[in-house]
Amino acid sequence: MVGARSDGRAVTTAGAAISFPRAPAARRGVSRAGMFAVVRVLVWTALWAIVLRNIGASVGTWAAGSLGPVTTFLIGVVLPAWLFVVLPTWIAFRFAVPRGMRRLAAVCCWMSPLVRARDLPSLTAWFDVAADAPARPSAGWDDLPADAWTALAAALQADRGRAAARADAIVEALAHLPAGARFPWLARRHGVEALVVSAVIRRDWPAAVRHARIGRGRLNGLFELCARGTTGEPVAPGELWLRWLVAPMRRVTFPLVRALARRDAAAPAARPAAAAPSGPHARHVALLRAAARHEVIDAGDVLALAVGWGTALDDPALARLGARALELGARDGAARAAAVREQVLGELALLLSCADGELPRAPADSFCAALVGRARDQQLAAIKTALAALDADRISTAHPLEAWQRWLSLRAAWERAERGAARPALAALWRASARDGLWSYACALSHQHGARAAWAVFTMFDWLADRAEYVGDLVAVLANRENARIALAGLR
Amino acid sequence: MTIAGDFDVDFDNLVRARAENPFFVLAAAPEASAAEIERAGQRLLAELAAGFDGARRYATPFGARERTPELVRAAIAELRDPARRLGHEWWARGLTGAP
Repeated sequence: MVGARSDGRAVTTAGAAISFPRAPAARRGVSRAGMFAVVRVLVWTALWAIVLRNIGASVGTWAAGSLGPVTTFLIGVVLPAWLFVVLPTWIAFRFAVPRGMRRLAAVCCWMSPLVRARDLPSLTAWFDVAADAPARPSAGWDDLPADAWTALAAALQADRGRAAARADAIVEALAHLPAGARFPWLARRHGVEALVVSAVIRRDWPAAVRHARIGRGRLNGLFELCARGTTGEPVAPGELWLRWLVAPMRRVTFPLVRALARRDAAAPAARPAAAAPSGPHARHVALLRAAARHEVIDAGDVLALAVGWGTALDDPALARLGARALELGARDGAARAAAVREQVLGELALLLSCADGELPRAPADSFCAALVGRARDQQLAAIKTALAALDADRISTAHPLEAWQRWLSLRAAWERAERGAARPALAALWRASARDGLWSYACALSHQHGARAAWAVFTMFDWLADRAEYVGDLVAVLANRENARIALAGLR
Repeated sequence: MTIAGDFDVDFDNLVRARAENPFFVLAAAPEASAAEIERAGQRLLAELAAGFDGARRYATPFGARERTPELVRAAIAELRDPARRLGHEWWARGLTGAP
């Protein structure tokens, strides 16, 4: 790994690739894992050979040679293949998990060829979270790796704990994983499905749409369509019913689909549009409410509102407000009026710093200029706060997933600032502290946790390389690409 | 595996502050005098103490919300301070379209 060791804070720019410090342990792990895989395949082979033999013998005796070639093929090949490949995970995710039968789900996944042996511990942790099992601070729990399954477990835990912003940050990171970072198909299907269902249960349709975007499968597709329809997008009833027909959980989703299809069939064009708030006060609160619901706020909307506020809070308006303050008996009416303007500006800056879209380089007026400057300052302050939480010295006490989530906080703040076109300020911050701090953090995480953190470390180094490229730091680009490559090798 | 994270900006509190504008809580007009506000507050406290159903909710531009004696007392206290009243009055006027 190129960069700081866990025993030092300094970062070297001299390229030196070193192996993971826990490589000998990893080799022993591979050996154990190999034995485990061999035993697993032997059990599969023995069990399915018995099942296949019994099916063949029973059906053969019952049919007494009367079956045609197609039926024989279906019974002799297709059915056993389906039983072997699909049935175990179907039982695990469609039968055992909804009923809280975690052990059965774990056994079924152990029996499934669709589940890699290395994913089994993380999958078991996900079952615990999906079944709302109480957290168990056991050794096994602490030894879990950071990977897509544990990340989804953390997202589900956050979502059910009403920490929607944290869940969104994880989903966003999973949506932009670098090529090579594993996101198993089953996790995309069933792991994401649990997140989408959690959002649908509390009628948070925008969150359901965001979560469904990283998912696969028929149920995710159906929920995404329902969520889009509920948030106002036109949905063809025919398509909705077709999706419902092919998706699982038809009995549960029927009322939702029926209500949506009836609504769209009754008045597809005549549905009254929600009246948009007109004045700046109402628009301001509408944007605050949208932000509180974790909906995506467009920077253009905030800036348009700021233009409206510019006239509602101009000098004559502030003079009237100051006069009213004096009428009410407040001292220093002008200062009171200025405090109202300051409050509005602060809230707008908060909205703008969290909004999507570029901030203008040449704002329209002085109010907008003050707003954009303050939003940029808040974005940079958020980066510095997140950076301060990434302490390489404390990495030994942090779980790799926890360390990854701390980095996600910084990642979100940094990318918001990038969208705000604060390139010179970011370049200065990168060279002053961010590069070395992040580098030390990722290297310390890798040295401390080894292969358990490889997935997280790979995503961090890949992101660091991209950021280095953005600010034109070629040395950091090369070093981080090399580190990402080494971390990726540790993943395999 | 509960993970702490610094992802949340507390917009909920800002929205709540707007919805709990004292003029909405007391169902008083923004131009109401101090005496009218006191009377409205005392009347609502009496109605809430008597369990009058109509007093348990108040209307805002964002929908009806629950009214509690604590909220009413806080609203009365807020409007006794002229500087604080100015801000609440300005928001109430803007949100209701009052002149």
